Amino acid sequence: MPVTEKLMAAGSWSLTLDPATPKFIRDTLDFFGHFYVFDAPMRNGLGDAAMISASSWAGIGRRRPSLYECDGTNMIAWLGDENGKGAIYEIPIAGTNQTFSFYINNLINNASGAIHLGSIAAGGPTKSLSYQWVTPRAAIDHVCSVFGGEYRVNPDCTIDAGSATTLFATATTPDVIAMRRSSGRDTSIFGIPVTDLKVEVDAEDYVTRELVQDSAGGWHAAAGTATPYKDVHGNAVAITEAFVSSLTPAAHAAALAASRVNAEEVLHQEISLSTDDYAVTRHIAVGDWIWLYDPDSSLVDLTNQVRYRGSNIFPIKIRVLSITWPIERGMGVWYRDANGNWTDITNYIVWETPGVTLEIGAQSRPLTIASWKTI
Amino acid sequence: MFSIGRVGKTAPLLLAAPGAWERSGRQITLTSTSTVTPALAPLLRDQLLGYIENGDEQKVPVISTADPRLTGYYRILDVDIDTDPDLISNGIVAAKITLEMVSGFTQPILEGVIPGTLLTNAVGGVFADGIPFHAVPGASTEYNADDWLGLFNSYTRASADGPIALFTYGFHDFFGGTYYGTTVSARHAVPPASFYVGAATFEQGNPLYPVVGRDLAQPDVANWRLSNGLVRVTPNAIASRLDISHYNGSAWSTKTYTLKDGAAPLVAGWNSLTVLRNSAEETIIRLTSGVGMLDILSLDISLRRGDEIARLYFATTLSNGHNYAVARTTAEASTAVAVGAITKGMIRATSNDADGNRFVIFSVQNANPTNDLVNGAVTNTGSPMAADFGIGSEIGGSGSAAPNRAIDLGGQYLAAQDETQRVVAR
Repeated sequence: MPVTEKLMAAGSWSLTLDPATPKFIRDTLDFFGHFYVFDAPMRNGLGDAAMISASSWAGIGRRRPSLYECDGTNMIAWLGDENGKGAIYEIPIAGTNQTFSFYINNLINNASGAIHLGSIAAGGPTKSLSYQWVTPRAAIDHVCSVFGGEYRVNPDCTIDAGSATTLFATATTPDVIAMRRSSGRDTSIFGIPVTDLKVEVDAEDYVTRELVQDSAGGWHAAAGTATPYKDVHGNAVAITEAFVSSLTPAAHAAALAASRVNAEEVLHQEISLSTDDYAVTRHIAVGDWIWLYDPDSSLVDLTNQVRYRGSNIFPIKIRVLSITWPIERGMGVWYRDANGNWTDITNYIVWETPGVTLEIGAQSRPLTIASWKTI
Repeated sequence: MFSIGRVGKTAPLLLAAPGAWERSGRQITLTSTSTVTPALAPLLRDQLLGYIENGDEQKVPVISTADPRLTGYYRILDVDIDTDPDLISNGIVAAKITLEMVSGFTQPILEGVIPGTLLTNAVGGVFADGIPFHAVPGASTEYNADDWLGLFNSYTRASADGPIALFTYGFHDFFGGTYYGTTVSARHAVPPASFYVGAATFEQGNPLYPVVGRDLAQPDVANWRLSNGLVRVTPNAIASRLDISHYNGSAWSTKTYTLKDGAAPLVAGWNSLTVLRNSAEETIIRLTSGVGMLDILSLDISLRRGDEIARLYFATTLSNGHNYAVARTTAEASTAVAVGAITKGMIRATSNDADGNRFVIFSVQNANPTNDLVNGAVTNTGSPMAADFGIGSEIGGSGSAAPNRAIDLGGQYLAAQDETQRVVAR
């Protein structure tokens, strides 16, 4: 089983140990310990900070399906797990006319301490918000939805938060391209080899009007633009979604409704591509923008003219929302226990077959931009 | 004659007709045992193996004069060759090839999916200046393009392979009128025997033979040729020069161009040659030179079917870039080509050469290219990290007519187009 990283979600991971793994090694792998993956085997004695800094990914061990299997989630689960459990705020974390960074700082500083502050975007608009009886992750998701921000949790258990364009430098000019016809490195752009490209379009989440219930029980509506779709009698399609938001004050509910209808009055396009590139996360992180070009699938944007491997091509710029990659031969895998002791388990890993799947374009369905539903 | 794609078309590298066909459903397996000279046997083997997982030519024409009912378009599923040193040393290549018939394989449609727009430029070129084009073999019929809203012009360009039908459009016509965001689907039918007329082709070796696919090109930077029946690009004995020939309908006319960094030759030598794309509609190669221990200088050269312009793209990892230039190696007085309001980065020879033609050099993507009208050169300024160049020829010189005048070639250069051609059912 591979590692699945998702944008602002817990994802999942698992690994299998060789049956010849000694018991004392297996016994070392305790619950809530951390598994770190490196792009190459690491030598012993580098020190805690250096090891964490050199890692390409880290996850929390939460399950032992068998003697030789471990699995868990990514570090984001320290803010709250997929079932809504975590360091729930029992006293309100509130602010009046405060900025994005005020809320993020206060939410992190009043959480369990598992996640520390990293780079938090300062300034911006102010809002009046309050959080109680929710996990830090639910609260941070909500803050991000209200301010239009995003966040990521790093392998060193720090959180970076801000606008997507602040967090991900590739927002302006991607440095990775995916296309069927060609791959390889140009001077300023890297092409990942695409082994499969699937484009799925649906209208299952399509809405024309949004109703949002605020924290006081009031309802706020927002209508979308005129729809081009019609029913069998020629009437414009009318699909209204009712959304209950117990964390959203009345003052922000109308904006939330508008945000949701804007996001959902379009067709849902989900693109997944596969590649056999080794350790693809060297080139792409979840949340990055990449170029994607496939004229056969109409994935073309003539406003983006990119010179790649001798051709003028016209790719769309699109985000990577999820990466599923294998723990494969050539990597290094270490376990870090509760006391910060490192154990090299590279020699005991049952390596997975190369093959990476990227989900790009649309958000994963359970996590809409304007919601704070945990996964 | 028996040929599969590009294999078997060029004497003496010929493919023997298969002894027997084995057909199962739409799938055909054949065994061909060809006898060539011992020196050519590895080349024939390479050509056949070049069709394994060949994304550039997934479906190709197969021509059998011995059994013409099987002539048509096929997808190549697999090629098996047992390399027996004794057989190879006797010039014998035995191959088992598995093919799958395309739906309606004798008369399918060829669909060109063509995104394109105005080439990003820094010299003031606008949409009205660009001339998008699409070229197909002259024997094609039933040409039709979606999103064609208005007038177009059709011409014939005489290539060394035979006539090529060239369709030129204004951007307003070709890319969906005012909608500019449309990818064109242009379709035509062509008999298998004419499929490769005007096809972009990469050849290598001494003598030259076509390379199939991308992987089996040899690291031979001194013996290669990129061609499309209208233009031939070959290396010069001096690495920083290219010999570029144009076909005027009956003969080739060759000129030498020097690639420069400012006034100095661009490179002392090329380290590698890579085939980036090798399809009939476009072939692209890359020459790469290491600069010191750390940096790379690459030169991409592309040719589309029907294009009179060899399109060059220089790129470097050097932080200080280069003042890239392309110049006639033998100085030749030049005149600026005025495409729309463009006043720089486009030149042509002032006078006809001995063959009656006038060269053109274009470079428009960096600001302030300098026209050297005394020597016939265009130089980029400001040490850019990359630079574009087009080298072409106004066939017929002062007596040329559309679409071959320098001003037409300038417009065609300003059309940034991509094309992927597929064989599809009717």
